[in-house]
Amino acid sequence: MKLISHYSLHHSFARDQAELPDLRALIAPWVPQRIRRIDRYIELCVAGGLNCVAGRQLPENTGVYLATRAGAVSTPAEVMEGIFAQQDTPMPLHFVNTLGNTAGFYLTQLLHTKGNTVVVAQEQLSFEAALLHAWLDLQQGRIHTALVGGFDEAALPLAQHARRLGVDAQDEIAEGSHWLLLSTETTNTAAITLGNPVYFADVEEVLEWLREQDVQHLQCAFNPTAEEQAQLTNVVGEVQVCTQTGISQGAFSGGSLIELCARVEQFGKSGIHLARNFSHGDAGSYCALRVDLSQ
Amino acid sequence: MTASIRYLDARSALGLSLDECVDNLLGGHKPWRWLDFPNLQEPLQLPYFALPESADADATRIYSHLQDMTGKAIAAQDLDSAQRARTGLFIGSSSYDVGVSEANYFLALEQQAQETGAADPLPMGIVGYGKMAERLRREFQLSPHCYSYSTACTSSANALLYAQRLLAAGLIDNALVIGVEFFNQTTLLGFHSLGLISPSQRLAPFAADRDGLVLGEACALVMLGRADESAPVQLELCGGAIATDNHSLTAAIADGSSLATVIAAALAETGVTASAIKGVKAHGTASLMNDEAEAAAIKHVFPESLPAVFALKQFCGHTLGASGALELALAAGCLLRNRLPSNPGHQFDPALGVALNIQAGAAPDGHYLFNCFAFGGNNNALVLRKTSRTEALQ
Repeated sequence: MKLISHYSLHHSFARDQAELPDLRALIAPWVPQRIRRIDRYIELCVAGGLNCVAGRQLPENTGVYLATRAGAVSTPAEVMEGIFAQQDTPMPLHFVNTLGNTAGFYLTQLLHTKGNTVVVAQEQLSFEAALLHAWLDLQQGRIHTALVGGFDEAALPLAQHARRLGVDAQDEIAEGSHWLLLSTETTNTAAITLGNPVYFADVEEVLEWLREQDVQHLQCAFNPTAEEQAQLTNVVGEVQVCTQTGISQGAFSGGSLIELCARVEQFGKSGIHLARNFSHGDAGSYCALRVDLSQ
Repeated sequence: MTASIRYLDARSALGLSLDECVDNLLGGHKPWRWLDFPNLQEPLQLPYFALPESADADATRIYSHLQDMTGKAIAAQDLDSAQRARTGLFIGSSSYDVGVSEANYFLALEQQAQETGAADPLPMGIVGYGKMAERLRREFQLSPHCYSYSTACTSSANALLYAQRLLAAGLIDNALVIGVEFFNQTTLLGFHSLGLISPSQRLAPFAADRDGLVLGEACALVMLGRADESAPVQLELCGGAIATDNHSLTAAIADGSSLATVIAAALAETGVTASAIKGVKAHGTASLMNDEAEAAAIKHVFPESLPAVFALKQFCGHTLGASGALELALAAGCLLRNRLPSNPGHQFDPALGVALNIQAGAAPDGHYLFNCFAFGGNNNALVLRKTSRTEALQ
């Protein structure tokens, strides 16, 4: 998969922050008129997708692969409060904005795409899940262009949202929108290429795969344990951890992958992106993929 | 590569097993009931296809149903640990466990009012579309290929399609595909606000006097894998397509062009001609606009004569994100009995021009089309093939 473009938006907030940054300025260059009736979750999708595409004319059958860990939160919470605290029925458009699909509707409408669109989640591997679905369709020739995005919102009030996420008291709350535009079309210019996402049931399987890759640099989209760090370093030599905070709170591991792509482009050396799905008391599962600079 | 249907299960208003559901479907039962919303400022009563267990049952029953259903599928197929590690899990739902969030929030509000509990009730307290799937994956030690889809009413239809694609790519050997949608007030009151609930409670798809839908709850499981050559009737998921219609958030283009596009793409993907289709499972919500667009699409794809068309929501309700898996399981359950589902009493609407199959009859071998369309313009069409062993041996 050849990388055509990427875009990363990532914010971290203290949980007593009462307002979030306005995203409309990120949308306005591509859509001058205000989009009515969209909430922050949809804004994150639209802002990320439009800035990644950056005005390119996409083929109509471009596949759009959307990843989210939590889906819409602020609007469903508002609807739930309306029903149970105010004993009121939801407004029709409020209800429609609770659905996982609505963000994709606005984005594909703005991009004029009519192909395969899917919203997929896999906890901390949600971005990789979307990438795998894109890879399947690209590799099997159904499409030649894919837009992959992972986004999740930080719903106000942030102290409540921290309770939903179960994050530690000292942790900041993250929101983000991370995007890749991919193609299988060949060109004569050097380009970043992404390998197929490979899934592993445990770290031993990861290490076995890494030994076959002949790559000396690995970027983790998570904070590895000391044992993981030692095992990975032993095989690949250089292990780096994503600089963005709160990656595990949403479908944000694409931000780590984008950091790696920039580094591969800068230094010309191949790298491995590694993400982990982890919960306490479980070894978790992993997903990895190669990032190379093709000539 | 096609994916063979190895095992089916369904729990809906029609019953708590596939056999019970199919018996009642073929018997023409439409077991909806009234649900009361007495706490609203303007109290409401809405029709609903609830599971035979009480609709007032603990909201956490969603977890026990999924666990039980998954465990039974694995036991029925006698999957050992190596086979389970090569079994992917694909769940589709439009609301996941939002009903549990509602119940927790309601309880906390009551406790707050009585000054006995939480000081700060948390609306939408449980988030994470992928949580339920991940819990099942860990419990049953399934493959890391474990995905949750949220594309409104096409959620589990999309889960089926990608399960077939992962199988075709050789990434897994088996796929457990689950569609799930359990009662929650957000959804039911949301559809009421949109004015889509049938005032007559009839849910009469493609009829001239259709006036809307009735929602329902269900969970269904379709297990895909390699063919079982000993089975007297083989059912295979050949593939399908997804396409996007961004004309409107809540309705397809009325001329049916976008729905015809996804059906044509599904036929092209599977290499099946329209003339080879023996039957169509319509999406058939009985809403004014869906049926108008779907009828136009069906007539466009089958310009000369229509195959047998049937719709299932009048028996089990519109189960939204579960409907793809549930309706495939119900129809497949009928086909395994060599029976074609029918809609007795259907009143033909000349303006739509789609007459539903009104007579239960034998289900011929061949290909079947499954339509599934969603809010947000996410449309899915799947193609299924039925082969009887006697024919396969010829």
